[in-house]
Amino acid sequence: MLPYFVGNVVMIGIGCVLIYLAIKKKYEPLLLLPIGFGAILVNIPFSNLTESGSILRVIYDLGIANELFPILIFIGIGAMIDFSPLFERPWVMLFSVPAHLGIFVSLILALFIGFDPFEASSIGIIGAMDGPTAIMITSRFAPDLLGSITVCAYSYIAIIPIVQIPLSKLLTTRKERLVRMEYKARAYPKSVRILFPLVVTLITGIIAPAGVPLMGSLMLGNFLKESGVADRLSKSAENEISNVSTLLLGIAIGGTMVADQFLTIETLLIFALGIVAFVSGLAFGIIFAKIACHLTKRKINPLIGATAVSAFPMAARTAHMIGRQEDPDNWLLMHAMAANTGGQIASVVAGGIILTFAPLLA
Amino acid sequence: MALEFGLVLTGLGILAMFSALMFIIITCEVLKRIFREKEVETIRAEGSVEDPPLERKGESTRA
Repeated sequence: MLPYFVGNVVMIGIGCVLIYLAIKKKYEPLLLLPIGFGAILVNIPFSNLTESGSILRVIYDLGIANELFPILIFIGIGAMIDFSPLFERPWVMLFSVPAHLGIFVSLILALFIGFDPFEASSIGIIGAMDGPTAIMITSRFAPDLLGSITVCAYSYIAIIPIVQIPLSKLLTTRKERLVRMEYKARAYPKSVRILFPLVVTLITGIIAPAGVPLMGSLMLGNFLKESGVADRLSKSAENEISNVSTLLLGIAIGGTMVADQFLTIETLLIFALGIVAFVSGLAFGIIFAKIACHLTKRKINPLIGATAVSAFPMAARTAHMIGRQEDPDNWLLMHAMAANTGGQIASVVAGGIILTFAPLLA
Repeated sequence: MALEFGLVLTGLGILAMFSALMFIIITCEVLKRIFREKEVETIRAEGSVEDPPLERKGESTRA
């Protein structure tokens, strides 16, 4: 372990790097900016911001310890999502199963390395590529790892194109990347759009009851929006509630990045396992879509296999961009968006499954 | 013991995820079929009341 002041200086440096990435590279600025600033604040010597009654501790207890902030953010995300592309082709949701296998690959590796089952589950969920889900599970299962896992998850989500582009090109042939998919835009009846969030909450709640807060909040946001009669609530969820929660969540996460807890071998291992989770998840998604491409006689472009994750909408845009590099007239965006919104649901389902089954098996 | 936990959770996780997503897909298709037909009927019913009497489908107004 590093001496007290050296550790603090290193952590202030890490905080500055996060701020640099947020401002200069535009990597998840809404989160990395407050996280970086929180990391600087908490590592100023003798600031004592993590002690009981101090401001960062109060914010942490207010919304992270009791899982309130991830829930509020999910209500906001739900209000922002449009599931229409998914209604057009709901079967793309099946790509989410292989695309989330990265969770289990890194979970098993973490167990091998020596993390306990709850820590391994929290590390594995990085592979869901879903920040609020990772925060919720880690704050319940391994609160000591919250800073490392959150920073790892958001950093990797921010750089997803850097991983997705070479991996997609490596695992697909040019001929496969040129596959065009038919798209028909339809306006779905309001009844479908209103019933969908309710039905999804019920189904996933029955299969993984511990995930109800996650899925329930995501679908509540969408329900408010689609009902068409609660515009004020829907807009508040999408803007004010989501923004305030994101700001406070970021500062509180940054506040957990205390030098003696963050500068450890465990953090390095978490970052290594996180990249394994990301790469393996994307690779499984592409390979599954590749198999589907051949089984359907080239009706599915394998690039959309990498979009069946929660990194919304960056994964979809990246797949669309790779497709257009090969053929400027190939429009994969709506198909990729469908898989990406399906991935959003699937990541919450995966989180709910881990929350439900991990305590029963450990 | 730890590896057993990982393998069982992986198996259960994949199974539960697949089941949940399959149920959602099936429900989505069922909802689409039920409500699309009703929507079409509603539009037709409203259309028959509001259609101007002289402009029928297939007839040119220029004639």
